[in-house]
Order: sequence, then C-alpha cells, then structure tokens
Amino acid sequence: QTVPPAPQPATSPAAATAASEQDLPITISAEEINGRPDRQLNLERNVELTRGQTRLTADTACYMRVEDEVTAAGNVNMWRFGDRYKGDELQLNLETGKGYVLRPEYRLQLNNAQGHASRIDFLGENVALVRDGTYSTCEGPDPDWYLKSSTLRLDSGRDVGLAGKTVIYFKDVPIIGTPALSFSLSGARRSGWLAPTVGFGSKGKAEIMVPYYFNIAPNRDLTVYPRMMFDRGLQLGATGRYLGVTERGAYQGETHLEGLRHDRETGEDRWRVDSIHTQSLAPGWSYGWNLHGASDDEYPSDFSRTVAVSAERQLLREVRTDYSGQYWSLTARAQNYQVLQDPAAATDPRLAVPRPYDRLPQVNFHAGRYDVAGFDWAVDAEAVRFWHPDFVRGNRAVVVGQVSYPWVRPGYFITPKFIAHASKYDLDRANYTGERKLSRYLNTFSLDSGMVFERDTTLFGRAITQTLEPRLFYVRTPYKNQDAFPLFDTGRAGFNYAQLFSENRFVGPDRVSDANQLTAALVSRYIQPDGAERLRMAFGQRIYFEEPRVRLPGEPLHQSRSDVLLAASGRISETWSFDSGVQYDAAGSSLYSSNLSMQWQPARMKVLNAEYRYQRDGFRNVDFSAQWPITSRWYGVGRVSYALRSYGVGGASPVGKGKLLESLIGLEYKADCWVFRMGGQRFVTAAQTTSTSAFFQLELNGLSRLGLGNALETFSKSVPGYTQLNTNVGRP
Amino acid sequence: ERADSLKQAVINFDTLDVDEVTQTRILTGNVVLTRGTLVLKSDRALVKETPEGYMSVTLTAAPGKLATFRQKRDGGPDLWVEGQAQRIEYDERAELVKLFTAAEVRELESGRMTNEIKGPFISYDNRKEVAQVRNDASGQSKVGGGRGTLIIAPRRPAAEGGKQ
Amino acid sequence: CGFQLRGSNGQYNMPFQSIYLAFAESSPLGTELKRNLRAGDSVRIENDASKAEALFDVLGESRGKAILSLNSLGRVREYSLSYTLVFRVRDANNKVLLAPTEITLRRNIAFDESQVLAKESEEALLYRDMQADLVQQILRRLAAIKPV
Repeated sequence: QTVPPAPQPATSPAAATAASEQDLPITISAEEINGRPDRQLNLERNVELTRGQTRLTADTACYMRVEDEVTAAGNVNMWRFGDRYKGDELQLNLETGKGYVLRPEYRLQLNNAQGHASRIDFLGENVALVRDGTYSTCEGPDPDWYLKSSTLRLDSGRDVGLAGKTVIYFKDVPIIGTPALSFSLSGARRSGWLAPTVGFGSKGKAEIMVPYYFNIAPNRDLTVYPRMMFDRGLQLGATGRYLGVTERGAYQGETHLEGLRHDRETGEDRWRVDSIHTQSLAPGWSYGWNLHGASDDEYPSDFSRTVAVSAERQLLREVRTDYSGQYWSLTARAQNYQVLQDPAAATDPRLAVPRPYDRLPQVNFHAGRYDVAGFDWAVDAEAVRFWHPDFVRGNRAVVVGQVSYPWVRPGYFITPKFIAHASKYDLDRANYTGERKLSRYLNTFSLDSGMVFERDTTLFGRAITQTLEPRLFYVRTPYKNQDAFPLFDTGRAGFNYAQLFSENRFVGPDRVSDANQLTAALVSRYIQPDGAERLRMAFGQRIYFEEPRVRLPGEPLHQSRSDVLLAASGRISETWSFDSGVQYDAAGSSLYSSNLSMQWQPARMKVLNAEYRYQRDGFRNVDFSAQWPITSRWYGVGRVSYALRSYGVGGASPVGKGKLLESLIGLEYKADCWVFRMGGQRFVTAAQTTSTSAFFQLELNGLSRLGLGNALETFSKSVPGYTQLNTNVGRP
Repeated sequence: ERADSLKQAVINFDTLDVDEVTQTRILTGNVVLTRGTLVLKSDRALVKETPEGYMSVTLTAAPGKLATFRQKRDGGPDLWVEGQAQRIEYDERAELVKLFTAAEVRELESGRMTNEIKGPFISYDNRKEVAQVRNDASGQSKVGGGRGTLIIAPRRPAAEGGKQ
Repeated sequence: CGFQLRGSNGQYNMPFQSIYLAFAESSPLGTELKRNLRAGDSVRIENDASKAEALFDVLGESRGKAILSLNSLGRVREYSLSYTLVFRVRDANNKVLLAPTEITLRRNIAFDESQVLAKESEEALLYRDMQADLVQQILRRLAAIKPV
C-alpha cells in the first residue's frame, strides 16, 4: 500500500515573492503611451510590461503607479514566477499578487501542469482559484488525461491542489468522478484518495480496498482503508501518523489498526494493531512504546499482502523510558512477544515458532567517560526480571565495567582493555544443579592494535587512495563452567566483521565465552579523491590458542584452528557493483555462509541483479531481478527468488527440495504524463500456503495513482535499483 | 513649475538674424532660453511671435548633437524634469514641450531618476505633468510602427530598500 | 609498493579550525563524531553556530531494516540493516563547502526465531559498528574538502 511519504513540519518552499520584486524597476513599452508617469499610464498597441520575473504583453493596458496595479485587455499573455497565463482580459496587483484573468489558458512551472478555464482568480501570491477549468500535467493542446472541476484551488505555497466536484478524463473518456479531490502540486506528499486496490488476497480470494487519505495538517495525516474481502466480509483499517513539538519536547508516532467483525470464514472477530510512539518529556528524558498485536495465529497468512508482514510471526510489545545525562544514561522497559504459531507446526514440530522470554521489567544503566587522563572507562549495569510460561523464571543482575587506554594516532592505534564481568541470578525454582542463587565473576583482558597505510594509485584508470589496514586483536578470558546458568536472552553472534573484534563470542550476558584467541585482519579500502569509499576488501581470521569450552547447548564441538571471514563489496565501475562474503567456520570445518550479489545498472531504468545466498542449516537461495526497457515506451520488471534447499527452524535437516519463494512479473508503459503498470506476484506465507496477487495501476503524473493493487511499491521493494519511470515529475 | 508661467523669458545666443516678413528671429550658436526654472539649450533656435505676444520656439541641434530642456516640477523640494531630442518645439502659451526624434524625458527626485521615457516623439505638458509618447517622429501614432518605452524606477531606491 | 603510514604526510588535517555539528544533543552519532574530531586533529568543536568556520548540517539520518532472505517456509533468515546519513557542510557565510552527500551503510544479520532477544542485542552491536564506520567516512569526506 503506497503510503504517502511521512508528514514533515509545515515549511512552504521559499518562492520568489512579489514583495521581493518591489526593488526592481518596471519597463513599459507600447506604440502609444499617454498619462502621468508617476500616476497613471494608458498604453496602446503592442504593450509590454516587465518587472523581475513578471512579464505581461497585451493589445492595450493601463498601469496605476500608486496602486502598483496593471489591467490589460486583448490577447493578454503573462509570465510570472515561471507560470504562464494567456487570456482575454487581466488585472493584477503587482504588489499583493491579487487579480484575475478571463477565459485563460495556463501552464504552471510546478509539475508542468496546464489547462484552461472560464476564469482564474489570483487570491494571493501563490494561490490561484481556477473556475470551471481543467488541470493536467500532459503536454500539448489535447492532453491524454485531464481533470475537469467547477472549482480548483491551486496553492503552491502549501503545495496542494483542492478540487470540488471533479471528473477525470483519460483519452477523453470519463474514468472517475469524485465529490472532492486533493493532490500534491509537486507530487511530494498528499493526495486525496489513493488507488483502490483490487486483487487476490492470500489464498487467492478476491478483495477490493478503497483507501482515503485525510490530510489533517502538514504534520498529521490519517489514511482509512475500507477493504471488502468477498470471502470474509468488510474489514476496516486506519493508519494515523503525527509528529510535533510541545514545550517539553518533540513527539512523533504512527498507529495502524485494522479490524474485521465476524469473519465469515472463521466466525470470530479478527484484528491487528501496530503502534509506535516516542515523546520527549524533558531534555534528555523520553518515553515511548512499540506495540504490535494480532487476534490469532492465522492472521498473517489470512490478511497479509506483503512479504514483510506475512513473515513476521513474533510480534514485539514494548513500553520504555530513557533518560540520558551528559555521561550516563538509564533505560527502563517492559517487553514481551506475542507468538503467532505457524498452523503447520501442529503436524511438524520443527516448524514451531519459539516463544521468547518476557522481560518485565528490564533496567539498563550506562555511564562512561572518554580520555580521562588518557583512559576511557565505561560501566554497564542491568537488572532484569525474566518470565516464561514453561522455562525457568528468575531475576538477573549484571555489571560490566571496562577500562581501556587507547593510544590513537592517525597512522596506528594500540588499545589495551580490561573488562570485569559480574552477574547474579535469583531463580524462582532450582535448576538441574539444585541451586536457585547463582553468581559469576570473570575478567577479560584484550589488546587491540592496528595500523593504517595509504598509497595513491589508480583503479580502472581513476586516481584513488588505497589503504591497507592490518589489525591484531588478542582476547584472554579464563574458563568458568557456565552450564548451570540459564539461557534467558543469549545466543551465538553471527560471525561477521563487527563481531570479529568483540571480546565475547556470544551476544547477551548469560554466557561469557572463555577466550585465548588472536584475531588477525586486513582491510583494504579504495577511497576516491572526494573521500567516498568506492571498494572495500576485508580478510579476518580468528585463531584459537585454546579451544573455547563455554558452549551453548547443541553447539558443535570447536576445532582448534580458526574461523575465517572474507568480504568484498563496492563499485567496480560506474555501472557494476557487487557485494560478496564468505564465512568459513572452523567448528563445523565447513562453509558457514557465503553470499555473492552482482548488480549491473548501465543507465536509469535499466538494472540487472543476481544474488546467491547460502547459510548452513538455514537456506540456499538464488535471486534474480531486473528492470529493463523492452521498447522505447514498454519496460519489463521481474524477480525470481528460488530456494535451492531449505531447512526448518533450528536447521536440523532439510525440509523441502527446491521451492519458489517469490516470483514477480511486471510490465510498465511510460507515456509523457502518465504511466501504466501491471503484473502479478506470488510469495510464500507459511509452510504450505502462498499468496498470489495481481495488480494493475494507472498513474497520472502529479495527480494520483488508480487501479488494482499497488504495482509501484511492489516493484521498488522487489527489484534493487528499480527506478520509477516518472521520477522527473515532482516525486522525491 | 507653475511659477514659471509668470516669469519673463530670456534668450541669449551668439548671432541673431531677423526676418521681418515672417516675424521670425533665427538665433544660432549655443542658444539658451530660460524662463524661471525652465532652461532650453540648442545650437540653433527659430523664434516666432504669436499675435498675443507669446513665443513659439523651435530648437534644433547640429548633426550628432541634441537640444535639451530642464525644468523644476511642483509637489516637492527637489523634483525636476529634463529631456533631450534632435528638435524641440516649445509653445510658451500652452507651456508644452514637444521633442522630436530620439526624444528622452526623465523625471528626477533629489537627483535620482524616478522614471525615464524614450521614443521617436514625446510631448510633455509640464503644468499637468502629462506625457504623450508616439512611435513616429512626426508626432502621429502609426499602427505597427516602433514603440516608445518608459522605465519606472522602484519606489524605494535599491540602496535604501536593500533589506535582504 | 608505495604504502606509507597514514598521517605521516598530514593527510588527515581538516581545512577548517572550528566546526558546528547540527546534531541533536543526545544523538550517539553526534557524540562519537565530536570525540573523533577532537581526538584526531586541531579542530575545535564550536557550540555556537555563528562562531564556527564550518557548519555541518544533518539533512537526514535514518536506520532501516529489511528482509534479505526467506527460507522455504516463508520465515525470515536474514535481515539487512541500513544506516543512512545525508549531510552538507557550509562555511560561515553560507557558501557550500560540501554539497549534500548521502552515505548509506549496510550490514546483514542472520536471524533465527529461537534467538529473538539475542538478535536484538546483536542488531544494536551492528548499528554501533555502522556508526563507527560512518564517523570514519565522514572524517574522510571532511578532510577531502578543498580549503576555499
């Protein structure tokens, strides 16, 4: 669903105004001039009056100097701040911008809009009222599409066009009539109503949705989605967005509600809520919530129309408050997840969606100072109450203090660091070792050092600076058996470049991995003269002098050798760019994950993407997508995402052989002032269910999009590098 | 300026020829006619006396030079009008100055030009401060002929008005 | 092979003595950039925009999270995290020293429903890493400004 871009604080574009033209001279020429130069001048035949960006030509005219007002008659032409009017008779006050023009044809600079009318009233500097007129952004005398309205108010200051009773003609055929219509003149933000979406919801059932957009204020808007689902009934949805400032500070948020009373298929009420809000109560003190919820487990596969929504089965619900002083900050939050179980899990437990712990509450304290006599220190303390219906419940308190002495020079750095990690558990019931109170103290020493070499060289004939950044990172943490400690919120960190240089193999305080390891890395970057990083290659290897003995349950035994990371990404040339990465995991002495993606974008609206992504026990996907011109006006868009081999949750064993994850085919026709898009998309929503939707969409540049489904959003989300065909028309 | 109409007109010149038959006097050589604040200058002037004793003067300039006129305007301490053309006809009774071919008239306020008129023919009535511009040196308005132009300076001079 | 230690020929000096950073007070990116500017060079952080030689305008700062890979059950297996900053640098009398520039960084994070809470903290780790990388790239862009 194309939601108009987020509301911005109300600032109208700074246009050259009549007031700023008061300081410019007026030049008048005519075949005959009579009158008092400092009072009133009557001009006959071949009259021309110019001042700054205002120019007027007519057969006859009269200029009143004191009122600064000109009236003209007889094939009048006026150019003013880029807009152009042609009419029989005109009156304009050059200072206030007020006046009128009779039987005009007009062309606006904004969006290249044009039309004719019985009369245009200039109500002020950038507000014009077009009476019984037409509006179109097409070139030429007979535009492909135009809207005809009794009253059309064009306000370029607030960038909005408001039409009363309106009929839209496409190729002279009336296609839609509406009692009111508002649209954005620059195409930046608002439009009265959004395209009705007709398509096939998940499981192929037909539906129609006609959203309506209320532009309450520049920084508030509300979109209402009545959606008729033929198999279920009428669902009502609404999305409100707001941002603003009170005297205590800024606030902003977005809330989406959708509800269906008495779903004919299931007989119950179905609803979903998504609400995000942040508000600052005082300088440094803010609170907010991030709430998502749904009525039942089947909600995503029954109602979702996008891949993102249907894939989300753990809905976060969190309320938090943050306070940050200059050197310290305090965060308190209550959080849990609603789990929408995959219906197929009943038959195949491997597909079950796990339920994470609730943190009711969690309080974090952080304090830190840099460069205190050369030392940096930081203290992070956390107290959490974990709750879970089945697993062990308990309170945990953790304090992590660290001190380091960074020796930083432009060419090299050496940073010794000492970390003290203390934690205390208070469990509601004894764990398998019979203890309810557990505590642990460990300290870590790490030495991080690196150098930066640079040289000027060329890459494909372009002057470039290449850097070579060797880095060594040693970590020593003694071993302490931690099997007795429960696993509340800790897991193995993905093996990536950022994690390569963190002291703990795990993410989360429940496990402090013992370590006697050295990480060696070499990064080479190619930096363009303007400082932009064009290409980056990185090699990292972690060597374990002692085999880490702290392991998560079920984690494979570790080899003593090492884990290796290779990554390279960037732009090889103006048109080719790539991203690749390989992670070789010594534990399973096999490839942990690898990915390679190439993009070729020789020109705007021409892009080919190919991507291979593999993760052991996770997935092996191949993905092709493209946008390519077929003829000078027809463009093709497509995407295929195919899973070569796939695994259930936890990656125990392959579940399915090959499977099509997402397929999209689209066609676009680009006319000079409108674009027609059509296509079909299918994506996986759960183990056995997919969602198919067909869509076609007619976008009248600078006015609105109407048709079935939302082609533009689907294309731009599915094809990286996709360029909207009519971007030159106002759209940001 | 109104007061000028009560003043005596004085003309000085280099040489004077009189043609009794047509009652006209021909003055040549840096002719200067002054009447109160009105000053007319040219290389050659032809002065005619009307029965009521009013003068009608035709000032013409040597090729490449221009006849000029300058006069104070009512309604302000330092309001002036000045103009130039190849030929200027001054009618003392009607207080009308007619400028022919390459005519220019400027109204000034404390030395600053408030507006400037250019055209093949300009007639300027100082008493009513009314200007008429025609697109033909004969003083007629020819359809499709050239155009006169008028430039009106901004009310607040740029220097003062510069409030960016 | 021509490599020299950086900074040996003073590459990293900024073409201005003082700069005003238009970040919100509590913005982590702003604090880290201030720290690096102070540590690395003779640049003075000016809190009063009118006294600064250079003005660093933040035109847009946004973090994104998009699905990168699904497995055959329609479950998310990888997210792509992105951090985008659009900024511009002007001098004291409003002349543009560095035209509006966008830097977008991406990090991929593997995802597994059974480690939702752990992945949350890993996400924070990756955003901090992107933030540090962003600061370095900003410093390079600032150093590359031709002194006017």
